[in-house]
Amino acid sequence: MMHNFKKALKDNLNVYVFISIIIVGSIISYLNLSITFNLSLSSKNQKAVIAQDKLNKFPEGLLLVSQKHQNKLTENDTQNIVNWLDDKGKSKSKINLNNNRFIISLNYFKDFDLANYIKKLLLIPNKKIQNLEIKNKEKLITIEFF
Amino acid sequence: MKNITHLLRVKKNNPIYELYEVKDSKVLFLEETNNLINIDLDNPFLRVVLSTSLCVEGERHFEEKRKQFKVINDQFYFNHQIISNEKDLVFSKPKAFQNKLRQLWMNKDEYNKLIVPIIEKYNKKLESIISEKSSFIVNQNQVIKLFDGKNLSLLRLNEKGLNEISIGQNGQNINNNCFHGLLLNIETRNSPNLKTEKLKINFSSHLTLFLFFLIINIFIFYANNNPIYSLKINYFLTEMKMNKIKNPDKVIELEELLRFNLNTQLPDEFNLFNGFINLFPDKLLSRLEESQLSDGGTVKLRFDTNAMKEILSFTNSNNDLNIKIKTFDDYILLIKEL
Repeated sequence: MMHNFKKALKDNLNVYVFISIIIVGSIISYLNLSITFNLSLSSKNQKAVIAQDKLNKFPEGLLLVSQKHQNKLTENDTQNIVNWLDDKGKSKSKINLNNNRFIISLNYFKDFDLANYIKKLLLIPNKKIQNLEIKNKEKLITIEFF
Repeated sequence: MKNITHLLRVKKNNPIYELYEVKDSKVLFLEETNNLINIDLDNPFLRVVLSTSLCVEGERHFEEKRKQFKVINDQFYFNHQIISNEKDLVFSKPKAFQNKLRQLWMNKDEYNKLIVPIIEKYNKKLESIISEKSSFIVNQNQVIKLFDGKNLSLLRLNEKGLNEISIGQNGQNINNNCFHGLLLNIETRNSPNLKTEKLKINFSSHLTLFLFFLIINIFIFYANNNPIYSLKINYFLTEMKMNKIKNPDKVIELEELLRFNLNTQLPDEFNLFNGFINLFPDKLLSRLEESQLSDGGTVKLRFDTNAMKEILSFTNSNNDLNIKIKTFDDYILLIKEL
């Protein structure tokens, strides 16, 4: 049995070596490409690339507020989020971040659509409107969102 | 292709081995022996020819037009259990050529005793192991007498010009160098062959493959250090959607969540709040100072103190709404659970 195995191994050694070179060469080349140029051929990565393409079609402000942790949001990020919320100057929002809470204070102007504003906020994943307060005299709306 | 240097005839009867030299495709007798050890060749390329008494080369016709006939390599196409059982035989791969299927077979014990030692001894130096019928070029009207002991076989051309072998009457003048002077048939690709074809990969193939991968990896290194190539490759990988994404699970999950949220409707409490406000007359609404909707579905409306008359009028005509009224010094509060 052992003799037959040794004989078969010896007879086909060159084939095994050839196949080994192909396998090892392919793995090294793939790893090299992966490290150098961030190549990935996994099906999960393919799905993520497609998902990333679709995400790029969403407004930047929505992506920032959805992806980034509150503590990592810069002033520029906050400004982008405000720009997304304030549609065509119909409102002027201000965001306060406090203990994982968004408190949005906004002054509204002519033709302001509160439903549209709330719909935007509802797009943000894993967040819920906890309190909505409208002050008619000051034309001020405060939304607590966490 | 290598030229055949020697031809080794293997017979059923003594002397078992006949060795011939091949010069300009002509076969010249060298020696005969019963023991393979006695045959000592320096760098040969050997054809083994099996005596007709030792093997059978079968031939059968098939209809190619139908395309239903598929040749299976491990199939024995000449099964005849009255003569011998398939498991007692060693048979070649079938060869299909000109609507004919040919196969060579011999007894397994004889194969192990006579042929296996030759394969082990000469291994890669074997050209083929074929029958006498396929080994030689036969001229018109030529009849070649092939002796294996007293057994006589006759090799000649048939009406179609193909080699044909038949059994002759047992001869008395036994000739143990009957291949001497015959012309070797070089073209044996379509002849059944007992030599098992092993995949041959020579050193240069290994080296070429190794160099191929080496060049690829050197190019990757070079391209990485060349901004233009690096940019082009990165652009290509992005276009081909093969660039690595950080945290792919999170990206996929976020895209799914946002897509799901796009289709969600406003929560019921907002619709109820809107419906509740629409019930108020414009005159009363003009006195509304503040409105508040909290997560529990509680609506609080703050009116100025002058609105009491309109509030009472409204609540009296909408008793079913269960609105609570709280009065303070400077405002009136309406509370409604949605």
